[in-house]
Amino acid sequence: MKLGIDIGAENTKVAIVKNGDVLSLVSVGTGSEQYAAVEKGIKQALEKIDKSKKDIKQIKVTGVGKKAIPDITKEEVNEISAAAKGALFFFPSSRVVIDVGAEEARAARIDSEGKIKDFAVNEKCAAGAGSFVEAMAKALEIPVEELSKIALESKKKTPMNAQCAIFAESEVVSLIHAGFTKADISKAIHDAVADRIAGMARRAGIEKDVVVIGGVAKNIGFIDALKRALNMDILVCANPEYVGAIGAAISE
Amino acid sequence: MEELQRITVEPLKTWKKAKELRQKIYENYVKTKETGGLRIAGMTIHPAALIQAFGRDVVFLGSEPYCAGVANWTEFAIQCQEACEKRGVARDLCGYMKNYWGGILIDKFMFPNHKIVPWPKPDLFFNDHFCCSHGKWYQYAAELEGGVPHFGIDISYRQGRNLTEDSIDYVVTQATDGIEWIEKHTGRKFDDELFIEYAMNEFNTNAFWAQAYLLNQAVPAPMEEKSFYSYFFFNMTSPQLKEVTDLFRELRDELQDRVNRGIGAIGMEKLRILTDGPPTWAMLNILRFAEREYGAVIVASFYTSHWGASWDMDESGNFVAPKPPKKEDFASGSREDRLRKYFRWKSRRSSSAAPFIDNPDKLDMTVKMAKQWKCGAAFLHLNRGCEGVSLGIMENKYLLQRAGIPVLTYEGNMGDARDFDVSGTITKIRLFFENIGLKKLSKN
Repeated sequence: MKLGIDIGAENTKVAIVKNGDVLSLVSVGTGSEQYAAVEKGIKQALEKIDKSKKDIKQIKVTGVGKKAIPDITKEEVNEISAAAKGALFFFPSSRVVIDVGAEEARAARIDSEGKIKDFAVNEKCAAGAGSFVEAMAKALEIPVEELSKIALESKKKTPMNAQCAIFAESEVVSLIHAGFTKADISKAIHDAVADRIAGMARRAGIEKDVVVIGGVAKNIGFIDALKRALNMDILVCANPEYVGAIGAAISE
Repeated sequence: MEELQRITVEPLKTWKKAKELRQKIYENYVKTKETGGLRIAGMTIHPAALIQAFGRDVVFLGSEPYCAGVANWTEFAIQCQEACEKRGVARDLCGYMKNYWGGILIDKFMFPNHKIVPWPKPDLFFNDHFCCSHGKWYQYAAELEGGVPHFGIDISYRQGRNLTEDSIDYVVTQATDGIEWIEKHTGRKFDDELFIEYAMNEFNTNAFWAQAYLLNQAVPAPMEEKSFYSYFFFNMTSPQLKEVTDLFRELRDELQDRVNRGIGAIGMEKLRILTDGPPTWAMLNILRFAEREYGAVIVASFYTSHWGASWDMDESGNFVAPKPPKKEDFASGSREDRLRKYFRWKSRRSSSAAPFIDNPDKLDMTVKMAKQWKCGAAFLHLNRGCEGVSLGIMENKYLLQRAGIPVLTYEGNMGDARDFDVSGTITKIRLFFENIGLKKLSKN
């Protein structure tokens, strides 16, 4: 069995894989104690399949906090390689992987073996990441899950120019006062994020098939907006937030 | 971890002299008024010899190198930037302009050794309108200074295949007007003999820089880009001074000696990198990170090569150092003839104007440089502090990639460190190296 850890800004994900099958997936809040979060995640992942640490042959780590656990493993996989490996695990036709997490977004153009041909990272702005959507949901006083769903109800194109999470929040407030429905505002929010992500992805280059991973890939409003922004279909697997951890687990 | 042959590294012998000369140039700018001299400020692609022809006690401040120096000292730079913003200047204007205007507003001028003195008000602004921002730079500075006469030359230099007689005429006509304007405002006369002397120095300075730069094609490279930045100051602000010509001759000779003896810029050279425009001056430590951790060294840039030197192309399309004209040839004819020869020479250097005027030239030259300097990768700066130099960066990226050279783009701001994410950029560099298969150096 191989174990992969993805220490993200918000959540730490643990995946256990054996012979091409995903046996266990666990996500715990990262918080400020990354080491403790990893230990907790590993413990829970093993308990789920009734196994112990001695059953694990390999542990690899990726994500922003990957240097935080040298006592557990020093075998690091860079975030882009892990994303590429994980995307190919689910979709062998993957040629572009877009990873949208809580604080960061990345896009990589890859070949059939997961080699990185080019990549781009969002620059110094939360407006292209999950925390932005969370902040906007808070401004609209609805849960993120609902925010993503109601975006699909709107048929309007409401322009939202903000390039910054802070300014976008005030723009959302202005839209509320201007009488726009929450559905219209939600669509505008997701369109703004998708436009930013699409712009970043184009810097790496777009080829079919495009796979979106990371926690934000679960947001159907965002995926719908990104399909329109890229004018193409997008592949999303069942547990997109675990793709990095799975990619780390299967990395040689 | 990979074992590599360690390269012998030595400090640059000319650096001490360079540092002292840089300090002296700034001190002269501040002190020249005490002895009846003239202070003139303006942009650095300036007609240095033309300005110096009004007297040996004329001292010119090249504002961009000054502002780059300010940017490198973040604490002081932020004081300047915040003073501008308090005044109502938009945050996203040229990074250098904010550092300059801010200095006027807080009445503080920074020496390279970080000593602060009251802002030295120039007698004149004599500026090349290299880009729209710089056209406005000195107009607004003149207002902030409480009124300083301001003359601007609109540049139409075109490099290589695009250079026309009309564009030379256009600049020479304005320069002739500029000479009359300086005479009127200073009561001094343009001295043709001084012009010849300083122009010859300027030609030789540019040529020595090109010769020194060409030596960096050697493996291992004898000098890294961060050091080129440091010497580059002279070519940008005072190429007409004999001390600078002499310094660059010595630098060329020193680099030749280093090449002969196999002395490198860094201890292990695993990857040679090309870069493009002005860096984020406050964060040059990212270059040291790449050198120290990965043995990746920037050996050439479009910026320091083409803004600092004059170039010719040989029959194979390689960059070669041009031969300066002989003094008797340059001195012959009328003043207008000499101005034409002078600006024709400068037009070779002003391929730096390509980002603003003719991007295809820049694209073509960047790939040529990468190949000639044996670069295995490129770092391109998406510079929020200068829209002009950022123009065409992504086209450059694709062109380099098509030529088989992996490229990392990163966002920053040459003048304003607040637009730069250090840890994010270091992460990107690390990811980039890992993805192209460059392993970290062993600690042993």
